Amino acid sequence: MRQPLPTNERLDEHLLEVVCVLRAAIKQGLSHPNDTEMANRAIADSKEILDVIMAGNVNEWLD
Amino acid sequence: MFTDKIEVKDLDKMDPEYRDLLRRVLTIQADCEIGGPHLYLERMLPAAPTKLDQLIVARTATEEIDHFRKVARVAGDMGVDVSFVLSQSNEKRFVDAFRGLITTWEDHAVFGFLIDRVGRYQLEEFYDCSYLPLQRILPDIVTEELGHIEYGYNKTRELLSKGDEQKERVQNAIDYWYVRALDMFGRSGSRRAERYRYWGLKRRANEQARMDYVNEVNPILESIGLKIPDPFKGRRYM
Repeated sequence: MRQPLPTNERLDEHLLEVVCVLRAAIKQGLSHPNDTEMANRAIADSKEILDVIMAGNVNEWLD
Repeated sequence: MFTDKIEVKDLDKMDPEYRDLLRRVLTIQADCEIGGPHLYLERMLPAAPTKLDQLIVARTATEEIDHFRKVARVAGDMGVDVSFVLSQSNEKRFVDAFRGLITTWEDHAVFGFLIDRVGRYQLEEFYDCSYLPLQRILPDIVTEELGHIEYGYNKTRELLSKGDEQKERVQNAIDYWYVRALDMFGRSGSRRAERYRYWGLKRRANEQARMDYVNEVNPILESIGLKIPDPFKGRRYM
């Protein structure tokens, strides 16, 4: 019987959590289009998280 | 033609060719999903013209990460690790269009308009495909891709309305991405593409999908006052 990857579940959960946090931060910025401070915060928060994902250090995420 | 529907529990019974093709197509799909953000995020998130555009760049990247997650899950459930594509350098991407870096807003807009549209075509290949776990993740992914295409198209039109100099820059971006988009469909008469179709993993021959794309995109380009680039100039896969 074909076995799933041992890290499969954890990677999926981690990325799903990251995506949920990102979606919430971006939604916050998008729902206050005239609030520059809030938009800046949302952009900065998303950038910080996205940079970590783009670095792709999967082993660190799953430690 | 293979017409059965397959679940992960059935894979051990399947011909090794089926498993190899499935592994390959999932790896390439995962690479394409994460390849987009790797191409534009670094330069375009800080440089998008408005706060709203910056937020939409971040949202698009987030959605692509989620698409990667879904494809990686399907691959991982059959024991295939595609996580290496997360940190793979752009030069090693499976598809040429994802090698390099997007550094201008015109390129970013046209990338959404033309290349995300190819992405939609690639995903449509899996509609009603023989591997059910892959089929199940498609609807949400395609819906979000449609949003990326529309955003790219709207931004392209917005740029075109800003005068002749801007129009020339957009046309240059179209000239660059159009041939890359056509190349993304792969070689005409490809034997591998025929085997994908035999196993019910894809629906169309490469040349048919490319022709469908041309028939969709060319009238749009003309309708917004852009020239259709030479479809052979600079092509790598005919």
